[in-house]
Amino acid sequence: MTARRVAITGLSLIDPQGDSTEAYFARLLDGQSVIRLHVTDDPPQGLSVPAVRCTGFDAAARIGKAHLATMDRYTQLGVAAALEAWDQSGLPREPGQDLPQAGVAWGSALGGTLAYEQGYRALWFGGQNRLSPLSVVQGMNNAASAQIGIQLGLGNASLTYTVACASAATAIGEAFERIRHGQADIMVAGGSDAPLAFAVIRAWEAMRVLAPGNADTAPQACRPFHPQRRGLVLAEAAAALVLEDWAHAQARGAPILAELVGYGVSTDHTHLVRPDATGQVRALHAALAQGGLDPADIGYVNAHGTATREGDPTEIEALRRVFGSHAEHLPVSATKSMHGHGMGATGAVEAVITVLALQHDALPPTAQLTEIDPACTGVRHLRTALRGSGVRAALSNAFAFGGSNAVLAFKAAHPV
Amino acid sequence: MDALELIRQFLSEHTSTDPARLTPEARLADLGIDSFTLLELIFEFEEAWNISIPNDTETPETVQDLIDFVERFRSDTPAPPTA
Repeated sequence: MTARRVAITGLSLIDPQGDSTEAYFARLLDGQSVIRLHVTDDPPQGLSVPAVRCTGFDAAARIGKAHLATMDRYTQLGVAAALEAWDQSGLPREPGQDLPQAGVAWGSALGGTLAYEQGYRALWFGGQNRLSPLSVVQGMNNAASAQIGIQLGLGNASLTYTVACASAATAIGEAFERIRHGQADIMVAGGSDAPLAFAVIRAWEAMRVLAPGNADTAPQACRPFHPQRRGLVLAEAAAALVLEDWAHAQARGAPILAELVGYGVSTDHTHLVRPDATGQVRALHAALAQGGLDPADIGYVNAHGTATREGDPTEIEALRRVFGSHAEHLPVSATKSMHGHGMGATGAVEAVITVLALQHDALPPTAQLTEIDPACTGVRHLRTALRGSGVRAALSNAFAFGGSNAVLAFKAAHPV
Repeated sequence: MDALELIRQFLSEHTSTDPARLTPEARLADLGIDSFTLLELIFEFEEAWNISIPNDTETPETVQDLIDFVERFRSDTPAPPTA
């Protein structure tokens, strides 16, 4: 069979402040950061670091109290995103439903890390010698995909991808391929992570890539492409898309928000953490080729842009190489400047933002970009939102530790 | 804390079940307590009463079954060995 087209019929982005997906996107267009100083005073030591905590997230209201105890926070965030995206798509949600042609592909870098840390604390620090019988199902890495499948009656594949910061982008890409090749009609695809465990924060600090800040400066701590950028900000995050066979979506009169047309995947195979533009170029080319897109067709790139010293210029170099003479006109932004780095979820967060940008013809900026590092020039950096540019196609980049690259290419549902 | 009160608290913390439905005759499954949730509830009894309930025991079906079941292990002496 010829490859099928893949529609996006639902989406969700969990707003850390507890508002709606659309309201969160509107704040991102305004350049508003959700990064705050994260302060704890738990033993063995308190922490004070810029981060994104989903303080406004009401898990009981969104999922129902009965299910919460079996879920680590990363699963709670993920299930909430999946349910919202599903409801937007207009697909049925009946108790006991069985949908053998619908599945889930989920990304998480850390899985149930908070459940692990809670267990270690209780055993090694709290003097306990037993754990809750829910520990296993909270901590397992496929907990989110399993719970999403149970909540929605998804009988097709339930897959979990752990590809560091490209986890969710990989999950979305692989879900896309399942639909293209007729293995599923519908896939809930996205990712979630809840990385604010004491040990996780300490581990990232040890790599010297966490942006510093105090209560006043934390919202501006993450500055991709800026000459004074100091690194990334850990973020609790979840986002989901409903991907659907185009004909299936049309037949049921579903809202088609955008089209997923390309998935480029590659591996640098050169270094565990130092990115390599050559590997990134391969992923970018592959995404464009699969989508039947020329560089001139792309009206927006949501960059991986983590605000590390090495990552940002490498990504811009890759874009310059792929886009050639178009690069200087290519609108690029790194929205991590506002939502932080959702680890395994970040590819889904940025994919949703890219789809919303196409839908609304409104491209979000890189916040805090008061000055551009000379090593990062050569593209059109968006310092404020760009509205009405007539964007028809866009890319979302995810370039992970381990050298794994995943690029998603989207087209507007109604080209202008 | 007595057994019924502990179950009542558990229901209010872990389920959206109306507490008025908690009667001795009520079936656990009808209250939203499946075999998996029961593991957690038995764990709560073990923690609250400082008792140890072995793995190879029967599965209670009603609230009264459960109360009788956990009360058997509530004594100052160690739980009796099971067959």
